[in-house]
Amino acid sequence: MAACGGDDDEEAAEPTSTPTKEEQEKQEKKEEEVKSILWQRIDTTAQAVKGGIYQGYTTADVTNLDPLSSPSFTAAFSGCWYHPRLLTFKPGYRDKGATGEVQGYLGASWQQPEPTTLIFKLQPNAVWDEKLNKRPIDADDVVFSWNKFAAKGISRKDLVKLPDNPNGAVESIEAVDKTTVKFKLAYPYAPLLPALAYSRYLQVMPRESEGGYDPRNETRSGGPWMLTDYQRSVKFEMRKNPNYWAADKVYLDGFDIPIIAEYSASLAQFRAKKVWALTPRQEDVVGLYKDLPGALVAQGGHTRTVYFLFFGLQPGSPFLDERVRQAVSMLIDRDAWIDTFFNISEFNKEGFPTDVRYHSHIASGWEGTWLDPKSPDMGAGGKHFQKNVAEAKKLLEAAGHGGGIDTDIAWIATGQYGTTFPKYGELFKGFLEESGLFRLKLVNPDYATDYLPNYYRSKGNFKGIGVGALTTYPDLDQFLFAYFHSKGSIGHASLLVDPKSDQLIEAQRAEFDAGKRAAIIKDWQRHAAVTMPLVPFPGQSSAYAFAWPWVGNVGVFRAFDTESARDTYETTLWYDKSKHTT
Amino acid sequence: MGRYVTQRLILAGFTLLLVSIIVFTLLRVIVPLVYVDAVDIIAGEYGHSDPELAAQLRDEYGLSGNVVLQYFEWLGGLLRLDLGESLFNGRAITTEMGDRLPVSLELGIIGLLSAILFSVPMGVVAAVWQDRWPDYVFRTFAIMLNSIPGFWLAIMIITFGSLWFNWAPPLNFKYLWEDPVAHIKIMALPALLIGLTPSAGLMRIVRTQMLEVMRQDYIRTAQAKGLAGHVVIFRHAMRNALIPVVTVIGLSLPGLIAGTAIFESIFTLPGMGQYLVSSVSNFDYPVVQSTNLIFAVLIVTANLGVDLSYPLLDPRIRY
Repeated sequence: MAACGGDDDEEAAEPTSTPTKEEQEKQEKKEEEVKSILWQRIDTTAQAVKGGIYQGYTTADVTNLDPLSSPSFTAAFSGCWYHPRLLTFKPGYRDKGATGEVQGYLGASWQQPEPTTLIFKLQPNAVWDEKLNKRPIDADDVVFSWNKFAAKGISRKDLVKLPDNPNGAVESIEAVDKTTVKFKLAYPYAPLLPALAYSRYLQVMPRESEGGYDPRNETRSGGPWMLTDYQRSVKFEMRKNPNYWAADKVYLDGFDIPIIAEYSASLAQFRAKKVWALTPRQEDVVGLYKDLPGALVAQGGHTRTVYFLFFGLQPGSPFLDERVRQAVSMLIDRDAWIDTFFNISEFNKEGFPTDVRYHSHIASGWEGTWLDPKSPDMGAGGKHFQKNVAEAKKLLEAAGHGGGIDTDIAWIATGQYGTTFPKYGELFKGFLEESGLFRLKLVNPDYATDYLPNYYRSKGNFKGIGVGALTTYPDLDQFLFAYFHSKGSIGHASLLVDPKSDQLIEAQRAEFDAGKRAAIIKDWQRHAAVTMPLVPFPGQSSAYAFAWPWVGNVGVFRAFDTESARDTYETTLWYDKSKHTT
Repeated sequence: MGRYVTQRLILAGFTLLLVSIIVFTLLRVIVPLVYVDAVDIIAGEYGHSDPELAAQLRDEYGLSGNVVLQYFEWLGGLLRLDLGESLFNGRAITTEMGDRLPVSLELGIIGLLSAILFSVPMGVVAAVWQDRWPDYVFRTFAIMLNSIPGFWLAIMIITFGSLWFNWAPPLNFKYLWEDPVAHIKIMALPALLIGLTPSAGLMRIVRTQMLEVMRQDYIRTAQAKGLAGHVVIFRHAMRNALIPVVTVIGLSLPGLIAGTAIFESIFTLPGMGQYLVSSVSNFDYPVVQSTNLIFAVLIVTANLGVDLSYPLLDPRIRY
């Protein structure tokens, strides 16, 4: 053990030191051991039997059960179990993660006769549940749901053209006949298809939800599951919907989903086998792996969300100069940050594989589109992702700030972005101050009354540096446009007039060829790496998750977006009673 | 007695009215003035510079118009036993309370009973054997209990229960009338834990009171008359020592019921505490007003109950 401690110290002092052959062999052996235990994502569909109630859990309640009018995204969590969407994301399979490609759901097929028109034919045998006497789900339901989303949806501005949102892509929607829906677009908009597969936009609800029943408290199902019991702040009970058009392909009878807000309670419930899967805090992974040899362990994919440091861009702000923003980026020790929050050293020590990736200005989980900042392909801006205090100092001197910069740094200290979030901010503050180039005054604004209006949505009209989180998006376009385009609804960088960035963002949204579109987004990343409008959080390693072996097909058909996959992931799971131990 | 009860009930009515006015004024006037209101929070999620949206939301949630009139509307509903609806899910508060209040009452009452069961015997034994080993053991135990928060103990029990015995508390809550066995299984541990911390304080009060009473002349007289030790303790000493203890117990009940939120969260129980906490964080005014009123009713009732119990314990007290 002492030797191990010595090794650690040496590693900390000399990160470039090469391990001896013996050490290397030992490490490789350890990694092989762990790899052999890592869950192989075996497809057991051929042995699948029907029945069984999956024991899951969630950490938070929903504001209400109406995803189209709730002032919070939480309502989408519940609704996506029983409200169908026009499209759904095609799942990944085994080691190949999902790519964001879409497939039919309520929309059985679709065509695009011209770039600004999209026509969907609905599933011919889709019906609502018994509470609506198995009424067919028709085009009027889709139009009703869209209109409600356009009027009240919290994220309507991502898609809907409105008087106060002239850049929205969707002008109108109409029912051509009972089974046909036509979308009229304001301009050719390639990302509409993934948007229609995403749970936080258009969930199709019956038109009876207007006046016929209170959708905030009651539900009607047209999807694979029904909400059969809901106790506020306690539990959701989902059961198989026998009237779902593909009910014969659903294995489980349902899901029990208690709300366990307390992390240690969820950990205990997993250990006691009362919940069947868990993504623990990464610092608990090694301990759990040792304690629970019977549990399956797997690495998930990289997430597709990146948080940012964003800048106050008021007149006279030092951050109006791109050299200052580049310097901020070069003061961040990305490897140390990732090690701190993803437990990399501990995993390496124990032989657990890690796959660290830096974020560019898009998250490293966007397979096929993400550019590795460490690769030569990133071009001239790649150097801004490497820690280099001397170079940062030169940049500040060139920008006329040789004596350093006195300014504010702001993040919310409350739990809206999770309990770890303030620690992210503390580490960034530490990196910047450690260099001696920044003297920062910490500000912790109130989330609702100060942070959201005066920092997050102020379009740069604040002093200093903000540390910000953002929501997930089904497609990069909504993210790029909202945050980086000069007309974007969030527009953290919109005061930095950058016609090239705007032009690339507009070009990608009009490009229907996936390969060409990815190439445009890569160009944009190269451009952003140079101009550094915001500084992305350092990066990530994919998280380890656990499950008990009686969950058949767990992790085999991989979700692109967990919440949007109740029809493609949860329906493929099955209960292998023969493997259930107590 | 009847006159006294009537007077107290009238006073209770005024107290509750005052509580409702204070809570309403704080929630609907003071907090929005110095901080924000529910609509500001929702509008903040949508985007801050949308006064039209804010006005629309205010209308939708019934928050526009004269605040005083809104108070009287709520009060009118209250007289019809209609506490209104949650702003965010439209669910009738009366229905929600009907489901949740029994859970919290049960937790509080069982917690209190377990506190009494722990503390009274320990306090009596510690007093009778003052400065001997049972006294030291129980006092140490009481100090220890007092220093350990109940929720921490709950987390430790769950964590080590799962580590050592592969055990975790049941997750599917059942009401007593649905499945009594499952109900007891899920309620027993949290109820017991809720009572544990207050039992430490109660034990110390019982001990102190017993010591004081045991030094009284009438106890010495009873002992001189040759009465058996247990008769002296249980018939003469304990009854008199319990008067202040009853006061403390009575006043602890509303606190125990109101303080169950963390236990409800750990054990996934559908009680009032969770309801109040989530409503406060959402600024769900009607729910906060109503739950506060319910807690006020509990406190007033407990006070009245304690006062009315005095004559039963001490015949010298008459109303």
